[in-house]
Amino acid sequence: MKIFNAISSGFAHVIQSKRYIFFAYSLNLLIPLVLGVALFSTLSQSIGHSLAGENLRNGFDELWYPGYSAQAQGLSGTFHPSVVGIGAVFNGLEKMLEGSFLQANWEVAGVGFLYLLVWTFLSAAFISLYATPKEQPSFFQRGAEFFPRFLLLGVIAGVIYFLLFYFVMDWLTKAVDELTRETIDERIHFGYVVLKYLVVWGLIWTVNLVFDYSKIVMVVKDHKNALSAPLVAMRLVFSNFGKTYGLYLSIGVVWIVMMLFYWLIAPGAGQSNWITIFGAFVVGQIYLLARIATRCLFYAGQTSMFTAISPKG
Amino acid sequence: MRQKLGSITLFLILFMPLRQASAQANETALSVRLANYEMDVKLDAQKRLIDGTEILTWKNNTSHLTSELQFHLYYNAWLNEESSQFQSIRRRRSFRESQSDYRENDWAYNKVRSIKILGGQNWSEADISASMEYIQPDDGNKHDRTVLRVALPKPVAPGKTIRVELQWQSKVPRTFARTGVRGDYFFLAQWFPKVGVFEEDGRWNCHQFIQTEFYADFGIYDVKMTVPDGWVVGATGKEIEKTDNGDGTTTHRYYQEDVHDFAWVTTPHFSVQNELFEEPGLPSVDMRLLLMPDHADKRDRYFAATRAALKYYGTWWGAYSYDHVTVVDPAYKSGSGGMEYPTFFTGGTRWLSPIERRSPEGVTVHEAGHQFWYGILANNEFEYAWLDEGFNTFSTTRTLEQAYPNPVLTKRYFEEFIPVVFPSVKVAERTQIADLYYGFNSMLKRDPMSRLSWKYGPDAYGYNSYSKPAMMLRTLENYLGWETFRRVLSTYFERWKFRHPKPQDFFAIVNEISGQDMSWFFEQTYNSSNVFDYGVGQVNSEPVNVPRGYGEQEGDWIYRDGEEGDDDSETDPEKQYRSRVFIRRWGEASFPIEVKITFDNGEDILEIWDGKERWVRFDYLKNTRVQKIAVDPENKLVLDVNHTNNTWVRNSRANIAATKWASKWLTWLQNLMEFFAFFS
Repeated sequence: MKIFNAISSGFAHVIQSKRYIFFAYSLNLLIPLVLGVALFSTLSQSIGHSLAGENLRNGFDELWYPGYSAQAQGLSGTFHPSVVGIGAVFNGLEKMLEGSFLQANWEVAGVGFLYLLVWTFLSAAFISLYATPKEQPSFFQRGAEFFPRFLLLGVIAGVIYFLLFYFVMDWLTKAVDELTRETIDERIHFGYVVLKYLVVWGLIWTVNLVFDYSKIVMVVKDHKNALSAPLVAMRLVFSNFGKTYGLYLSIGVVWIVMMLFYWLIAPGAGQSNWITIFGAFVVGQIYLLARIATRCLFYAGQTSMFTAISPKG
Repeated sequence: MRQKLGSITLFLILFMPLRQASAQANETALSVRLANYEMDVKLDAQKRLIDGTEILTWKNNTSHLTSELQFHLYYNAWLNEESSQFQSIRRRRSFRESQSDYRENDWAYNKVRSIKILGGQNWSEADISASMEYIQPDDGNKHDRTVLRVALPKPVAPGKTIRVELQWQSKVPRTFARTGVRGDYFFLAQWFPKVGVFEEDGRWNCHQFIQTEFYADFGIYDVKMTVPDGWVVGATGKEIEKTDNGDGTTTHRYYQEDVHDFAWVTTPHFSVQNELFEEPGLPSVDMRLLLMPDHADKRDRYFAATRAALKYYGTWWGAYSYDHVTVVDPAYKSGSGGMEYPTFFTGGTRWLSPIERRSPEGVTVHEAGHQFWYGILANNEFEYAWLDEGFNTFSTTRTLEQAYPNPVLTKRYFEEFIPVVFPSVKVAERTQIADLYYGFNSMLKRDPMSRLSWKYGPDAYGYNSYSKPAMMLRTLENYLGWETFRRVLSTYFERWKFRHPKPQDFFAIVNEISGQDMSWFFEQTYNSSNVFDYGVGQVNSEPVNVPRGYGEQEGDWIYRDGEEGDDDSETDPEKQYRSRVFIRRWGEASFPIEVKITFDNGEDILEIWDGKERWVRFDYLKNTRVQKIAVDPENKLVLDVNHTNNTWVRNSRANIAATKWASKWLTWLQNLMEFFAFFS
């Protein structure tokens, strides 16, 4: 199967699963909503009857924010005006690339871990759906059936990710620091840093790829052993490296193109009435929906690829 | 064979001894030249060593005798971990991290090998090296070797001059406190034995190098620097001679009169750019820019920012006094950016730096501005750092407002390499953000500004030297009005240029020019660490009803239930409202305050309050309600630490504003969660 065909097949599956994708999106919205309400309350209280309300409605209030941030602690302290526009994406992307999620505020990190668990369940359901697109069992029964195995798989993957960030990233960071200790041209340092991330993320992508196929192995082959599934997947991935990695990177490129497009249209701070505020919110939500659909495209495309390249029987 | 390469621009100076040159030049001297240096130094770039010979011609300009000389040996602050500088800052995390990476070649020293008195002017030649000793006038730390005392065989009498020759060696540190080396980029500041200041009261002002900046007398610097062939040199002053020594080295000779320090930079990587500053009413200035290759596209921006500083500072406060200035674009991570030396300063930028980041603009304006506040008005930075840093921060902000208005939020991502601009998010100028210091533990309360800078407690140096005095000056400008304030500063500049002003000198000029006794203001802002905070208290604006209870009617007392006339309170144009507004002083400091009250019908009332009591009440009886209140509506008191409580609007927009920003934050959080899910 060619990469394009896998993407095409995966895309068709994603379209067919749109109601579940919307369900996944709604969880993405609802889970952090409780924190959003808490932040709303904090902001509202800080603004009170002051003119800052008017200024913040029309744009941003540069005099209100320093006082707010000087007092803000915990969840309130996570508010920063760079949440507008592409900052909403880059602030998180930076944390992901650096592996600094755990440095986030504990409420935020807690919600993140909860979401991680939710997606462990959802990924089981989606892969099962894409592997055997029948009415029964239901989406949730599929998720429930494979969740325990996926959870164990997730723990194993998590340990590997941790090792990569904690040791490899750390070691490479020190190596880059050493190599650039006397560097006086920023471009050279930048080159080394890009190289560092390519190495670390090359490894992370490979692990991610192997574990994606591990999940597919567990579902399609009903492989019950979470410890051996990655080995099976690894054999498959490396014996079809061009196809599996090519597919992974191709969809990754789709993700990047989508992000760059969002950068172009991402709303700033200029909305001043309920309609435009809601409109800006909707633009952000459409992007999030697209991100979730892209994740499903990874699962669907890889499931199609697996079905085509895995040994029969 | 020695080969002369450069042109000779100061013919007379080259062919006569410095003493004769300075004697003639004294007739047109801009300053009282007390500390004059002739130096001949050689840089060994491989070993990171400088060997130097220094002839100091020093004049006792006081009415006291002195039997000693005191020298700063700044590089000894990085001699080892026991120096006072290291002891002072080792608790800082950033320092601990950088220190953990210190290696043998990163430490530094400045060792005076010998010192001798040169003959002439009633002095016999004598080697006085044996009388050298390290002293610790500030903290008594016997391990600190940043001040050297040399006893003289006889005192230097008032008005008399002594010439001494020092042989010394400096080991250049890995850049620290904006001097040192990275790769083959050497930025050399505070690098030679520098004589302290002998004050009018007969005491040496020669502090240890712990946390502050510097202080020195004016004089003439004539310095020969030998560096590897092909290396570009920039320095205080102008290059007047360049000699190829034929041994792989070249000697560059720089000369400058009427300055109080000398710094230089050398690397083979600079490209040299030149432009001329010309502005009607101001003298022209040769601008020389030494630019690193990764910042080639910042050339015009460096010049534009330097021009802005020379123009606005020159127009507002007084013209730049020299005909040249050298701007150094510091090497990446060299740690030498953002520092000022006479006629010579470092800017700083990044490879990727959109104009909205104001980099190099901000730092270039600031350091070019230091040519005025520090270079020309040479206050004692050990003791009154705010006199240059505060004045310059204030002036920088004012210049940026003119030349680069409407700053917006920018943020660097991905190990700070990639800048992103958020054009819809305005940010505050530095003299607007007292709100940053809101709260019981306000940074502004750590020390009064009046405490000597070198005695400031932890973290107080920065706030008291930069932000607070800048906001104090902005408040003073707003109080006195721009034109009066500009005259205050230009008078101060003119009267004290090429001298060493003290805070009281400035305060006296404020009183003189404004015609007011402003001691109440300085007492609170300078001598005290109290903070300002005015805010709207309770607001009540209710329809006037018939009072409930007994009232007199036709000679009798009749009971009324208070509901009459209350039916059409919103629509009846004759309906009266009793409005009561409390304005409160939450801070300890006080300041005259304007209060603007706006009513529903658009009417504005401007109340003036002396701001002394804890609160004031304003009452109104009108056929319209209070719609909006603004305490200090023009934001004159920028020192107010909470501007949010300065305003009140009846129809609060808090809900829509909070919804807008909470929804954006929610979108951020959803995106962050999606990144978590990558690892599912």
